[in-house]
Amino acid sequence: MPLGKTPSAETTATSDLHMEISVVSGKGGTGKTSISVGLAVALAGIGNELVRLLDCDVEAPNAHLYFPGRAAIATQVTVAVPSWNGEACDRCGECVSACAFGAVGLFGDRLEVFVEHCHSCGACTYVCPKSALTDTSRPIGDIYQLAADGLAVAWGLLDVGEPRAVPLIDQLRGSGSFSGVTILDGPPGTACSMVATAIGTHAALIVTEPTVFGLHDLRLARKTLDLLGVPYGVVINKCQGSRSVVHDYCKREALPLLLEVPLARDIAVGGAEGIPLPSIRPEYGPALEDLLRSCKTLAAGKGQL
Amino acid sequence: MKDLVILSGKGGTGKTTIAGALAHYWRGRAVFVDADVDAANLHLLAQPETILRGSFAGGKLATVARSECSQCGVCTDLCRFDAIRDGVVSRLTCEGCGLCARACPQQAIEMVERISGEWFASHTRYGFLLHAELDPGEGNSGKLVGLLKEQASEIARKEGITRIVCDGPPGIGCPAMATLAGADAVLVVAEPSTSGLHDLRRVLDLTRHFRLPAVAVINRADVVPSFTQQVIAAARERDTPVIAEIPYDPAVPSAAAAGFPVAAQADSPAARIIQTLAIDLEQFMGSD
Repeated sequence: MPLGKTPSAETTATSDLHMEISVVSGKGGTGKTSISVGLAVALAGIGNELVRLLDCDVEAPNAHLYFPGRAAIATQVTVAVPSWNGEACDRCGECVSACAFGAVGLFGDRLEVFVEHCHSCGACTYVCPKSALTDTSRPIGDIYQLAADGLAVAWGLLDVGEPRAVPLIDQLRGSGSFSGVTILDGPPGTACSMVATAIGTHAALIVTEPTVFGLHDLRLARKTLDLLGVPYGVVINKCQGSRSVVHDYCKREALPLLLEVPLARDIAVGGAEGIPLPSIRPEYGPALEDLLRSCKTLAAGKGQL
Repeated sequence: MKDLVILSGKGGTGKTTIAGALAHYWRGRAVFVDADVDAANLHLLAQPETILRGSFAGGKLATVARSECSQCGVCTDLCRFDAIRDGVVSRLTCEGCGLCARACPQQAIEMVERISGEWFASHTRYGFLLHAELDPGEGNSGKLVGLLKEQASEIARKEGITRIVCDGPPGIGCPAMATLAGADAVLVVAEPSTSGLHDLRRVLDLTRHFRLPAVAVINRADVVPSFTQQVIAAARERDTPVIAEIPYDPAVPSAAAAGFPVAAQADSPAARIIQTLAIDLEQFMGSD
């Protein structure tokens, strides 16, 4: 994929064989990775579909921790930043005016590029009348890939000190063509990283917890997915009983409640140790498999499949 | 003035739970900032009354005068974010760089200020709180965090308060880094799990990148003792002492459900540990 390209904002269906399901939350720590991994492992276990797990929480990826002891292949990811040719430059300052992000500055005779502020938009290279600025590559992190028991796992790891996760998420999503089911384990929050994960996916799972914080952030996550035009269902994790503010909300709003996972010590300890949910509680296998069916129905409801 | 930032790397470790409890123990002696601008929760524990509010203009949005657009496609070719196609702008992906506006042969594109959210300065039962609501799908959260911190410093200066506490966002990218700007000390809230351990290392690498002194606490420390030990060791490897271990305590969610930090329940085990933590943190931060 070209540097900096974002997948299309339109949610168009791809082939019948390819389905993308994003897993988001709003609230951190609700169990996105637990559910993403559980779903991916359960589907891979059936053997009917090619399954890929993409960990798009590139600031703090955790999905790969559930597949220890496998060799991972790393590919460096770069973004474009301008490189200055001082000899060709006539110090006109057009590039400084053109930059919307304060990434270019003219200090007397010297042009400085503040790479942390650069959005790789290409405006400065475009406006330069002397072609004194050209694109050069700057590393921001890596994409890792491993294979585990019929499942392909890939994740992005943003370099510490790098501010912008979105270019890495975009390149992770664009890496390799795939026909099958892709589960995209998203970051917490409802801002640009979550958008970059969920945009263009066929359906989303909002993983929440039955607390006031969970409810507050569920509302925000919904709003963002509505804006993206991605249909969604809710997974309530860490349930104590079948009543809560979140259960009530889902009922009132007629949101599809697709799965409830209990607050239980064995699940908490197993999850802490990086054991996939179907291995801790095999009885949740069918319910996890059903999530794919539910997502297909959601997507079909939006005219996408 | 001392600025304490609470981070975690991993989401859901208990940053807001601890921030809320600290607000209780430091009532009136600190200005609090909820820097998790796209999923702010601290105000749910504080009963805020807005005293000041404002719009947040994050950046600019390409806006096309349709009547002027000749559908030439120059914008489509040049945009690196796939945010404009033949004069139709995607608000979700437009980064506001302005390249399309400069390049448009018909000069049909204008860069218009984009309102991305709202910020609030509030009185709460514990003192001043700054928080924000970033609109769904908007970006520039780092800039909004910066605005909140600026407002917090203003208020602290005016009111003679010498401490700012920032309840940080998850992750280690731009929102977390913006929260760390101007910080004097960092409190890292860790979780005893394989994910928690992995992310603890990343967030401590970030605090060291900025040369900021850090201490750590482990939340729900009694659930998986083997991981608690691993977290202590990993923190020590990065010159960070673990200064408190907070047990799993159902008083936390039940107090939150009632709109209070856990500190409101004095007999809760978590509250007692955080009360001692509050004293230890004052020492760690040094005299204000």
